[in-house]
Amino acid sequence: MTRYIVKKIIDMIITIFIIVLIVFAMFELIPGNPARIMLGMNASNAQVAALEAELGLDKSIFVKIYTYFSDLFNGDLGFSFRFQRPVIELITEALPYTLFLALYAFFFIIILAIPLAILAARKPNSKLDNFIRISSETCLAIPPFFMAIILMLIFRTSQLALQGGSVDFDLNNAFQSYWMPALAIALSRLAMAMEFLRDSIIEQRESDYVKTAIGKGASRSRVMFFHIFRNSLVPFITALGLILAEVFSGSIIIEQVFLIPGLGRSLVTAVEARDFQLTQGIVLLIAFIVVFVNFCVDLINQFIDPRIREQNKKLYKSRNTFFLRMKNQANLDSQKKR
Amino acid sequence: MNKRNKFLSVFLSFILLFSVACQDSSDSEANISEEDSEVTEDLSQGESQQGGSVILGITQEPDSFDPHLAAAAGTKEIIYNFFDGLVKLMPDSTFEPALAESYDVSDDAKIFTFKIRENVTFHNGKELTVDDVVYSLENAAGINDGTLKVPQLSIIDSVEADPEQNEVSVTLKESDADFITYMTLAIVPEDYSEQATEPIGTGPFVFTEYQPQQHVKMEKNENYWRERIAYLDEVTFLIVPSADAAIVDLQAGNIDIFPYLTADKKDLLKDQYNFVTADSNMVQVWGLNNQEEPFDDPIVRKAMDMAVDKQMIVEAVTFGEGKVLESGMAPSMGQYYNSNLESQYNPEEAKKLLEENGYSDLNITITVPGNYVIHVQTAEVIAENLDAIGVQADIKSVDWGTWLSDVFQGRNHQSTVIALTFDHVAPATVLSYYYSPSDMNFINYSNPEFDALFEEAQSITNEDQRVKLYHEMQQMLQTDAASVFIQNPGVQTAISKKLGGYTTYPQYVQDMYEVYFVAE
Repeated sequence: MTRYIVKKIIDMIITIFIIVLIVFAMFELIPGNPARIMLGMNASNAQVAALEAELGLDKSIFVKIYTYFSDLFNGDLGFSFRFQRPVIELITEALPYTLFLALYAFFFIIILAIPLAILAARKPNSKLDNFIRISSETCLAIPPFFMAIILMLIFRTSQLALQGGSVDFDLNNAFQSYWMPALAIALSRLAMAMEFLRDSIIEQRESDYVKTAIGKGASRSRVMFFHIFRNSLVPFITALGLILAEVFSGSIIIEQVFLIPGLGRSLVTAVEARDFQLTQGIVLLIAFIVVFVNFCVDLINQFIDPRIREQNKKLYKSRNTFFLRMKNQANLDSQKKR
Repeated sequence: MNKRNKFLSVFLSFILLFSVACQDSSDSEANISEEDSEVTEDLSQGESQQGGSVILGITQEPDSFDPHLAAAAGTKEIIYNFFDGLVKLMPDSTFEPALAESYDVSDDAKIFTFKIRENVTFHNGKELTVDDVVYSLENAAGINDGTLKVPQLSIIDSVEADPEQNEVSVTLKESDADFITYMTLAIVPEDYSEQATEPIGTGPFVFTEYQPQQHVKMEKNENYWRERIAYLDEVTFLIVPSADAAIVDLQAGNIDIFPYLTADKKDLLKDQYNFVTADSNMVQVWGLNNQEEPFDDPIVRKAMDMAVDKQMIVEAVTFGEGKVLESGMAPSMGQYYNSNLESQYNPEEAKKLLEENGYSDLNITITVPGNYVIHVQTAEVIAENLDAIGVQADIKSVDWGTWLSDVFQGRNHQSTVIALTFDHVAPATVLSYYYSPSDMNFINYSNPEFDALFEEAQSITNEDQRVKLYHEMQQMLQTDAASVFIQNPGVQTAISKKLGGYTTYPQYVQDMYEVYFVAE
């Protein structure tokens, strides 16, 4: 287990290192000069050049990368020249909004997906099943920001649109003010979670142990919740891990629509201003969250399904990890089919 | 009811209950604001009253609050309320003494002497002295630290104080009759280094708080030096990501003043808001790169000027609120503006001109900053106009940062649509966009005669002669078809019907000192 965690942490560091390099490369490639953006049209080229030198923008990319990493190892995320404040401060201010929004959306996904999946799985391909699947897939086809606009249009008819919007939009009354953006994200991502769970339930129901349980005379609901449901959770939780990453990316755009001062809005402002340090900091954080969530998903799955735990033990003793993991998954699948 | 239906109905009612619970309070609040607006309708012309707080929506995140460093127009419009200059620009383009009780200009327009007002205090309680004035001017002109912060002040040679007389005299390197227009420069206290984050001035409002992505707050200055202090107790500049996003808040009555309205949104808001079009000092131009084919040929540029239906742009893009321009200056430049230039619009002639000179099947590109809807839409109308004379125009949209570095600074474009905005009523600043050695000359216009006139106008002091020269230069820009001057778009502002006193200036600012709640 320790070995597994250490390996995961090394993976995490490598991933983050690569992401930082990608952001560096992107900023070298995209046009736009941060000093010119700060000074606008009325500044002379000499003034722009002076500001560039002051901000250290005239240095080579290698110097910039070296400085960035040495600062990062000292726990310093840098200084945002757009806001004239340390990046860490800006991120700590914005993070609670995004985190809350993402978790709220996630909560909606779970409370909607589980009952809908159970309903749909009761009679596969029935009218109800088709209805649930078609409507959730329609929602999947609508991007979250557009879903947000639809919701706003629907609820505006009764003057409910985003009370206060951006005014006093704080975490104290967050449950009230955030339900619409959270729902917009949730609806667009609901189908993925729902379908995973539905398919998994249907698959489990066909398996022998369920038939045995029914044969023994266990009640329908008992079989459903203690046998089928628990075993259907592994793929569902894996899917939720993926969805959580998507929920984060969804909230970046939603924040623009609903005037939420979270990471997404900071990121857009940062990229527009070519504020390299702030962009880097936010991307780094989001990457970390996604990698971390996947790590947690792995841990939870091991807890729920002892088979994964056992096989991981073997797995991480071997150096040929990727190949074995694939083989491992194939074994698991065939076991399930049997 | 079978088991399945029962489960479904319980589940659905749970969802319904949850959403109703979440909406309840917002519903009642929205209703209240709706009733309010009905009650206060048509009272905007009424008496002023003290107190109240106002929320003004802005779409740009401020940069530095230091008035000498702030570059973004969106910052200047906020910090205007924290500071005073030696003089104040009035709505009719004249100047009124502010922190200077009076001023005197030498005959050669080289020495400006200001009598400084007494008993004025900064927000931190410190009294205004001649030293603060000297510091402010020297700091902005870069005399004390070698960094020029306000480009127009590079002309200052020296600044001297006379504490006995409470006077400050400014000596210029050369004559500049425009100089007084720059003396709206904010006066800041000497020895205060936190201006960028916690601005301190003598203005009618005191800075209280800035939350990035959220708001800038200010409250009234109880010790303001003018006879009347501000009407409003508190003002919040609320940061919204875009004008479209603000519409919902405007409809709910959460924003009292919104200065970036597009005219098509008026109908949605007309019950709760009054509208003002500010004659901002702004020139929207279709900039033609004079060194890129085919616009290096004056005949092609001429044909473009004839082909564009400016009235159509005003109607389609600014909904009849803009003013068609033939000059590179806006009418708010007062006497410097040449109002005698005639419209060149004649599409048949334009087509003929191109055909006669062997320009058939012309293909051109218009690069636009995509974040400015007005310029994108203008480019669309231009493309349509050009299509009518057989010219194919492609519109290329880029983001603001790319536009600034590639199009403006890099001059790497064939043509572009942009609005030139000016802080000062200084004709030289406006026409510097066409002066060939200037960094601002992003259209690469080059005419030695124009350059000579430009230099001459700056060196003489006789006002009549200056006006004549500036008129001549504007005529020259049209004759050469340097670019296609389209319109003065005007800034549309929505103001809640509960408010009065909103004043506009030929400068891009939000003056909250004059705004008040109308007495019931």
